[in-house]
Amino acid sequence: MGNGPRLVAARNEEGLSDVTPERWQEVKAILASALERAPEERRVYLDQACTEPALRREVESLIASHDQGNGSFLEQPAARIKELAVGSRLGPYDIVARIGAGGMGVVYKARDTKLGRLLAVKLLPEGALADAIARARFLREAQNASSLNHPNIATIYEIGEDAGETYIAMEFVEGRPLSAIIDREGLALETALRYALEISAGLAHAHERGIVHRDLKPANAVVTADGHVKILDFGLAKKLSPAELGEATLPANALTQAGAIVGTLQYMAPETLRGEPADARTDIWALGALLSEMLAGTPPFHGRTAYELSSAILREMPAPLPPHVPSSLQSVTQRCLAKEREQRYQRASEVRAALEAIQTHTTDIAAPASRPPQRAKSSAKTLRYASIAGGVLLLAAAIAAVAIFYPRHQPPTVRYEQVTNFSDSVSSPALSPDGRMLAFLHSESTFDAPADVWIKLLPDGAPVQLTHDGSRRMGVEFSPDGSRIAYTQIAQWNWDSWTVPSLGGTPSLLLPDASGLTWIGNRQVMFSEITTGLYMKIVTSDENRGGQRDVYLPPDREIGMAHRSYLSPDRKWVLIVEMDNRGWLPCRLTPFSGGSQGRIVGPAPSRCTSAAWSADGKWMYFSADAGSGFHLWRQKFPDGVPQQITSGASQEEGIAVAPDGKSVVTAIGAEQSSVFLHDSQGLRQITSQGYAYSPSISPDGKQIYYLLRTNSARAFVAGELHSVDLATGRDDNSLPGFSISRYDISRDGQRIVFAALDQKTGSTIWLASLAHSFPPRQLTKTESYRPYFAPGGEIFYLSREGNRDYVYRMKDEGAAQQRVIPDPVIYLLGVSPDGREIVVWVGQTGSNSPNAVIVYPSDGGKPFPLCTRCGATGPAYTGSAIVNWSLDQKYFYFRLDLPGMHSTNDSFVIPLAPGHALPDLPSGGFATVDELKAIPGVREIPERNIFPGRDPFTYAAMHTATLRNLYRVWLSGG
Amino acid sequence: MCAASSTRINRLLADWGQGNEEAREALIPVVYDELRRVARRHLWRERPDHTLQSAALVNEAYLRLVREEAPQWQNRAHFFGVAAQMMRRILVDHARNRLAAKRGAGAPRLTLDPELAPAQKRGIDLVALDDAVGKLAALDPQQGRLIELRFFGGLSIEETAVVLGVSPATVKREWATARAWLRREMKKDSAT
Repeated sequence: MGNGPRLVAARNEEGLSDVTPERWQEVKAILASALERAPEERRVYLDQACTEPALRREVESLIASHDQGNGSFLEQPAARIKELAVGSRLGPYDIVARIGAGGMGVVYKARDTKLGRLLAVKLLPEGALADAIARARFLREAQNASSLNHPNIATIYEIGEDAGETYIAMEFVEGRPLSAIIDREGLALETALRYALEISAGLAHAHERGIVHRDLKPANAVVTADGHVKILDFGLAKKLSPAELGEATLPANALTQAGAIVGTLQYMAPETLRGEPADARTDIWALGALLSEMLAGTPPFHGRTAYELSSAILREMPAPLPPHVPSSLQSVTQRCLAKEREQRYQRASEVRAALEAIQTHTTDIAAPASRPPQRAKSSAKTLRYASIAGGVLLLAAAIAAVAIFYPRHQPPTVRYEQVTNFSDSVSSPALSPDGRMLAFLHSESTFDAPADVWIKLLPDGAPVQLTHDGSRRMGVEFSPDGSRIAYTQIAQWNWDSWTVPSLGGTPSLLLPDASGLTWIGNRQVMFSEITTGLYMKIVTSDENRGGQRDVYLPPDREIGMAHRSYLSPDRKWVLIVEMDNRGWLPCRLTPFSGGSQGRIVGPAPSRCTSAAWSADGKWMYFSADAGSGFHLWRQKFPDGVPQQITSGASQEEGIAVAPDGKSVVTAIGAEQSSVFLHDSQGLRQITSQGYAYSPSISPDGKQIYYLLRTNSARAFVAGELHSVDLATGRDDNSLPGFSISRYDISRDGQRIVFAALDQKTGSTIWLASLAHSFPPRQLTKTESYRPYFAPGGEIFYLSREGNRDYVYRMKDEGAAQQRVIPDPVIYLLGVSPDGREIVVWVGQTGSNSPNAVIVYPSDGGKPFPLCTRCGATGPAYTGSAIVNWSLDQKYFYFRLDLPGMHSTNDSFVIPLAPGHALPDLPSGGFATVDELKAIPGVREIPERNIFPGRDPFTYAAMHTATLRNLYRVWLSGG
Repeated sequence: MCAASSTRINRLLADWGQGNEEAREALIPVVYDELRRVARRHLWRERPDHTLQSAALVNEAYLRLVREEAPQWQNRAHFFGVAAQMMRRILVDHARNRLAAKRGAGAPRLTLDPELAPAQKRGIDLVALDDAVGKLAALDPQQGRLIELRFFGGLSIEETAVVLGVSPATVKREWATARAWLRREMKKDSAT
């Protein structure tokens, strides 16, 4: 750039300093575009982009500033680790190359000028040895370690000083650290055994001389080109951070006090975590952890955070080893990993002897076939690079970083094969254990909806219907022998597990109050149980509920709903699908043994609706919406990076993994929803694209507003606001840039209040002018949603405090925000146009009926129920007004799920007496649909989602259509 | 757990707050290390054996952050925001002190920490930069954060993009324009 024609010379900046934030955005946009162009093209660009001279001067001045900086200004971060230049001299050594850096400082490849040999020189971080005592301790231990001379230990040559720098010269080991060699499938049995033997030999040698490693881990064990292991950093296992040296400066007994925690947490022994001094048995624990990782592919303890991990090391059993590992080797590993030192091997030589015995035995019998063949290949093609004593950390890190940074852009290649061909929608695939039968639901939904169970023999059998009554059902699952199919059947508030014979027959109730049931043994099942209110936990028992115990309790004891559970093949772990009052949450991994909240797995944030395990337990699968619709994801167990498998405009939900692990069956589909208007001319369609929902008719009746759904990784669904001019049919995006979950139009049709969703700030409430007379204003700062206009310039809405939602009111400029109802609610269902009645959905803790719809007078009067044993049915996100009013408050509209109601697809309209927001209710609310139908003047409208207009014959409605079929997705690269 | 060592950073922070310059200097490498480590762990999802070293354990603040961490970017972003801010404060405070020492306002401190050397050798006046970043942040808060994360926090373009929740291309664009603005701003100041 330096020689290219400069566009402008530096100029006097006077007069350019009065830049407002808005102005800066303008300047910035032009500047960015200009900088992206070649210098010679900028002038032409500016000619057209800058209409006013002042703007142009400003941009040109900044371009000049940029060019003078040559792009390097601030390019190096403010703080950096000290570096030695290649070619410089350190003591008797010429620096040849920088190898890497680790906790111990930067490592260089160097040449010994006297002996001519190559070696590694580790430069200690500045300030690390500032303290005299720490320095003495460190140097003494390094000196000790330099006395070690063993083929399995990288030799330390010298600890030296030059120009105030302390360095360690050591053997240059060419090879790859075990951390780069072990992949998630572990090493071949005999290889792992051989490496462990060599490490134990090196440890035995050092321990006999009273030297402990303290920080043995895969990154510190390098496999050389000729296949032998060398342990690095013996006796140097002090993490020389100032923080740690701070501990060493404690006056008492500093030279021998080894209380500071060193080493890598994953390989730290329990006693190290407790801050006790390390001894030889601490190394033996690390050897056990290393051996375990070589055999299983993952370390023996897992945790998402340092806290969880250390807690696992201190308290939990190590993860089990794969079944191909001989029991003798399993018991050696276990003994190394005993929590108490006294229970471990006491000397490395004992481990070595035990491993030798197994090796003699194993090479005779099991060696060649112990691993699947692709293992060898994947090792061989792994990147080859030289790694030198101590310098391996960052290289491995760099490679890992490139490879695994959310590789959702490079999903594994997949191939699709259509399995069903329904003209509407099927969902919830399940495969029989032998993979030859496919069960599924003929349902418009992937969740709770009227549905029948079907079965199909693979590959070409015709689908056969097994249930015939269209009850609300979800979630199908085969019994272990394939003879029965379980499903959840929903009647009012009862969620029960039923079975039907796979070859046809009469359905029978298996377990009441049990949903999402799966078999985890011949007569053992795991399912979700509603305890009180909404709260759903995962439990396991036999088929008669004998021996029932809790597996997972959602942390929120009121609105936590664990719906689905999937046991890992090794029976140790459970994948959980759960939701709260706002919808699906990310998936969760918890121990089957119970008592733990586990941790989030799969993409997050996301809405995760189903999960599965590969047959070998090494992969976890998810169907989740991380912001781009529901798609399949997978993640290596336990803590690989989530990878997106499928993508595109259609969505995938439900996962049935084929027994051979090469494919999964999923439901692929697309939902469409159109807005219709019913008026004196009859019913006509207003929208035809995408998923249009939550319509409302403008007060003057000339427009229909609606939301056009966009994808969201959050627990609620949002869309963009559109308006259709009913006279011309013109469709406008009325509030571009806002992702809206609910809106309300003011009575005068001039203003709109809405809840807008932002990935960063969550959901907040905004006010905007539909006539664009003022820019949108943000009214709330904290998580809040479902706003309603009320008279007197008031807005009612929900505000989240902790994990609970409360009904609030405020003035329409955002002032005077205050709670209206003291108790939390599940949802705000409606506010009457006169602002006097607030209808909310509440959970009923301690009741077996999960729902009640309660009316609260906003003046603080006594609340009364609309119904107490009623489902507020339907996905709330459709914007379906379960209770609503005509604008003049002459009619009340609602739809409730009441006993005796055949279909939940009908809505009711009730005329109101003047000055009233509700009809006269039976005391205790509506109990049956007959009571409802007995109200004078009631009218039934055959619409599920109805949005009132000026009179009961004018209303907007939504009609949804779902096209969904089952596909087999063939995976490769797994 | 490791209570004895976990208070170290907090102690340093407190000491620094009371004007102890050694504490500040001791903090620089610790916080920087920590930042890089957590960056790698959280942004790259690196295997823990490469990263979770003892410094992670000793930092109570870190433990608190990771323990409370919900699986959402916001919290990570918050961590990096705080850590980068802390780096900025430490480094700028250090530079300001050096400046004061040079002008004879205090006893000269000659312990130049090498971690700072690159920035100073390149002639960047951190105190002036700090002021300029403040002005930029008033104009464009996101660019202010970006400078903090990139320059003071040492995050890469990609890491910064994840933390800010924008695309790397956006970070590049914002980075280029912010630097052009800052450079001019600093020149303007030094001229007056």
